[in-house]
Amino acid sequence: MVGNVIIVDDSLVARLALKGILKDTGLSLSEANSGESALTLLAQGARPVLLFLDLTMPGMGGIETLRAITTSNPALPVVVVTADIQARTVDMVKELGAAAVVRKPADKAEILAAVERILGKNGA
Amino acid sequence: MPSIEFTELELDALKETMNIGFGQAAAALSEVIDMQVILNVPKIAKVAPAEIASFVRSEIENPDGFSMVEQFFLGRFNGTSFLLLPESEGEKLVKLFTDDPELDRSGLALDSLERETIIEIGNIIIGACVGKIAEMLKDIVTYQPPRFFAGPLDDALIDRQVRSSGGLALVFKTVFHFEAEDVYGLLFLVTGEDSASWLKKAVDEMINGIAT
Repeated sequence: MVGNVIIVDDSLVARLALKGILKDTGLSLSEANSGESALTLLAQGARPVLLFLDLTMPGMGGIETLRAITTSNPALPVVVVTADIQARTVDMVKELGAAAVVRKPADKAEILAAVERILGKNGA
Repeated sequence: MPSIEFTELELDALKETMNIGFGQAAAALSEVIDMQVILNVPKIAKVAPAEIASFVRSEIENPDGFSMVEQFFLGRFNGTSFLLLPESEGEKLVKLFTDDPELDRSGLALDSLERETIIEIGNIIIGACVGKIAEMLKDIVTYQPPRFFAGPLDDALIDRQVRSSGGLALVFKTVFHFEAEDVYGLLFLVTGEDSASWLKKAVDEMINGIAT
C-alpha cells in the first residue's frame, strides 16, 4: 500500500500500538497528539489517504475533530479507534461520516481489515 | 520500601488502560439507562497518603453534600474505588434508572430507592472499569460488597478507606456526564504501594509487547 496515514491520539502508547500494527503495510505514518494538531497538519497541506482518530482527548475532542475533518476534507476516510464503545457513540460517529469504528485496545486483524477495505475502495 | 517511580511512558500506558476501563464502564451503564454517558479524559495523580482526602475534596465541586459508593477490589491489581455523586443527583439517577420521570417524591421509600440505585450504578461502573483494567493487564480481581455513605465529605472516612486498602500510590479519576441530563459523577480508584509495583511491571510488559 502507498500513501500517508495520520494517527491522532493523545496517548503515546496508543499511537505506538497503531504504528506497530501498520508498520509492515508500506504506508508512511504520521502522528498528531491532539485534534487541533491534526487539523493543523491538514490545513498545512498534508494529504493522507487515511486518518485514525481517538475520541476521548483533552482540548478538541474526537467528535468535534471528526466533524471538522468531514467538513474540510470530506473525501478523507477516518477510522475512529475508541474506548467509548457505547452504541450511541458508535452510531453518532458513523452518522458523522466515520469510515469505520474500532474498539480499543486496537486489534491487529480488525485494524488491517479496515485499512484494506477502505484503501482498496479508494484505490490508494 | 522505596517509593515507586513511573516514567512518562508508563503513566501514559496506565492512563490509556484507564481510558479503556472507563469506556467499558460507560458502555455498561449506557446500556442500563439507555442514554449516552459522556466521559472526560481520565487523570492520574501520585498523591502522598496523608493528602488523599484533600485531593479527593479538591476534585469535587460541592463536598458538603455527596453520596458515595465505596468498593474494595482484590487481586494483584488491588485497592479501593469511590464513586462520588452530588447528593442532589440521587433522585435524577433513580428516574433515569427506573425510566420513570414521574417518580413519586413523597414517602420515605425514595431514600431507600436512591441508595439502592446509587449502589447499583456504583457496582456496574466499578465492576466494568476495574474488571477491564485487570483483564488488559492479565489479572483477575474479586470484589467486596459495595458500601454506601452519604453526607458531607468526611476526610476521616476517606483516610480510613485508603489506609485499609494498604497505603497509597496512585489515584485515578474520571468525570462522567449523562447525555441530556444535568447529572455527573466522579470515579476514583486508589491503589496501594504493592499494587503500584505490580502495575509498573504489568504496563512495562504491555509496552514491550507493543514495541515488538
